Amino acid sequence: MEKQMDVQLERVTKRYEGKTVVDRLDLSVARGTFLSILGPSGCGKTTTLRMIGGFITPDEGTVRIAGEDVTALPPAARSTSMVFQDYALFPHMTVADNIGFGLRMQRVPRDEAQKRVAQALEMVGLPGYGQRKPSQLSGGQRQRIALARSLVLKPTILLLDEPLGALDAQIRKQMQFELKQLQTSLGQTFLYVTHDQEEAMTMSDQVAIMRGGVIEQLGAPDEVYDNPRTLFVAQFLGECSSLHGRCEQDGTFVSQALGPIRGRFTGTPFAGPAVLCIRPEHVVFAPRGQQTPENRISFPAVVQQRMFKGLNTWLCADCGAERIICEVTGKSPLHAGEEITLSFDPANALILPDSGEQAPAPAEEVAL
Amino acid sequence: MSLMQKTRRGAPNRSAGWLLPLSGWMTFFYLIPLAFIVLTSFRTMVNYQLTDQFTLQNYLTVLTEPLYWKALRVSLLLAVRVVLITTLIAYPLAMVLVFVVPRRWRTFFLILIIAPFWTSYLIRAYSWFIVLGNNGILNLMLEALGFIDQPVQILYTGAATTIGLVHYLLPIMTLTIYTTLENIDPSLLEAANDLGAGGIRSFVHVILPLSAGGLVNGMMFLFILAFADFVSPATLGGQSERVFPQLIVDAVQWNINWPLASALSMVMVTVILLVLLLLSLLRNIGNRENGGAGK
Repeated sequence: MEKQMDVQLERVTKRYEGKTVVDRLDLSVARGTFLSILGPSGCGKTTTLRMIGGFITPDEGTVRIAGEDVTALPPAARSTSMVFQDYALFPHMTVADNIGFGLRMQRVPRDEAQKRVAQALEMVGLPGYGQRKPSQLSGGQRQRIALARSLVLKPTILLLDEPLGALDAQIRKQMQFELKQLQTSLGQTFLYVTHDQEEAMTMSDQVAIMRGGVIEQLGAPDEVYDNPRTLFVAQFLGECSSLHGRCEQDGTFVSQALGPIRGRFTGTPFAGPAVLCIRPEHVVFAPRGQQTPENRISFPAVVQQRMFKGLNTWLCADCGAERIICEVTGKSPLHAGEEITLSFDPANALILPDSGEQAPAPAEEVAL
Repeated sequence: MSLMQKTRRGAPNRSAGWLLPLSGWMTFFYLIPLAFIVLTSFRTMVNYQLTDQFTLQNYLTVLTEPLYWKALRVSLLLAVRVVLITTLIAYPLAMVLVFVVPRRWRTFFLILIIAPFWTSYLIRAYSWFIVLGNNGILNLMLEALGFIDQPVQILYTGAATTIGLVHYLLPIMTLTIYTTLENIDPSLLEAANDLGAGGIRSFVHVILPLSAGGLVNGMMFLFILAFADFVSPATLGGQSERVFPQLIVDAVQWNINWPLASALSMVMVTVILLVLLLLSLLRNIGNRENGGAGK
């Protein structure tokens, strides 16, 4: 038996002035899924969301919501509701009138509308705030009201366009938790657009990583994290060190820095230019000269930089021409210039095709 | 109340020092002359000389003479008519500019709207002769199309005055409303649309309430300009519908009766203040109702 699909995009394309922003995109979202569309700015994620909401009409392709073709319908005629990045609360209305706006437009009887508004306020944890104006609320509270305003209409799909972007880190964490809880208890489909990988990973059942108008990889966050198909995905979802080299016919990865390694393919095995990708948590360090287990790949390195991250510390180390990041639990007494030995289990080293492009090394990005 | 709202964003205390030159300017060039007019309005003229004798006669004349009452009525009706017609043209025009015209074309259209201001108001008023006169473009067109046999008298009527004033004030009102509408966050309209409001209901529930402030301010401004205008009535209007400012000019130029002219001016100032008060009351009530809408 097939699960009910709430959203189905079929070869959806959108161009702006000759530039293709979304390129023949296919996407199906099952009912009750929390799906995050993750990607850098300009990857087409917001355009995709807005096409589902009806704010943008695709140039080609079909948008289906709960099986129905809605490609030509305006937002008002779709059973989607959008939570905007800047909340878009009506400043001239009270909180209650904001939440009740959609019900009023649907001509829901006053008594029932009032009841549902009260329930919605209860749901987002702000009972008794009905008579306030949006300007009297904090950012987090406004966000909750925007959420209540959408959810009170019981939409098939809730669309969220970077809704936490304007909040402080503290409230953001709190809201992530609440959003996920709300979605789970309602069992509703949430489509969430963000450029924040942590946000996407903590809340989502599924993440779609977008680049250049196409979905590069779609799957459960842990699955995508463990098995990225491309270096872009590996670096966008979490951190990773990359070694450039090539893959031989027999499946061994060869590089100048480390010699042959029998790494793991996340896709179909191939031969040619390749990148070896290792997550910081899979790299272990030892003092220079100490024996490492036989089955591990070990190599000498020099600490370049130490980055304390609270729960753990990152050691950025140079081995030849490449830079490897090693994650250490807690603090580390090591400092720059110290000579160490790094090692990793080849089963944790992913062999990815080298597309030739130079993605910014995450360590450098952090160091800036 | 409304003044407070406007200064709330800036820090009123810190900016107080900057206001000093402005208040000096206001005192010297507005309040002191105004005080002179008030004083003059209670005096008399003997042999073309002002005397120091206090009298209420000027005000009694103004309030008992039907001529002045009639002019007041004509002026008020003209101002109200001009405000309404200008607003009804300016609002849709501004809406089209903000919501329909693509951004890169807006400057072009804004220049088109402002362009008439590069010509003197007096010349613009006289230029309507070419259009509205008995041998004007309008009459010739209507005749050619067979709607009329004889020229229609438009010039030297209240209609011509109205046309001249609307033409004069339209750019001001369009720009005022344009600024207000442009400040409305487009995502609010998207949200309204998303929540089920079509074009008309988005307008009624979102655009109109959010632009009400600018709308009322613009109408106040328009009212003052139209009510006190002398140029359009004097050039395009006829003798039968003389407006209040024309009578003030008469009192100064023909009767050389400055006290009477001053009393007439004070009546005008009072009427304008009353209308402004009424409009701000309306706006405050409007604000309160918007806040409690749909309860």
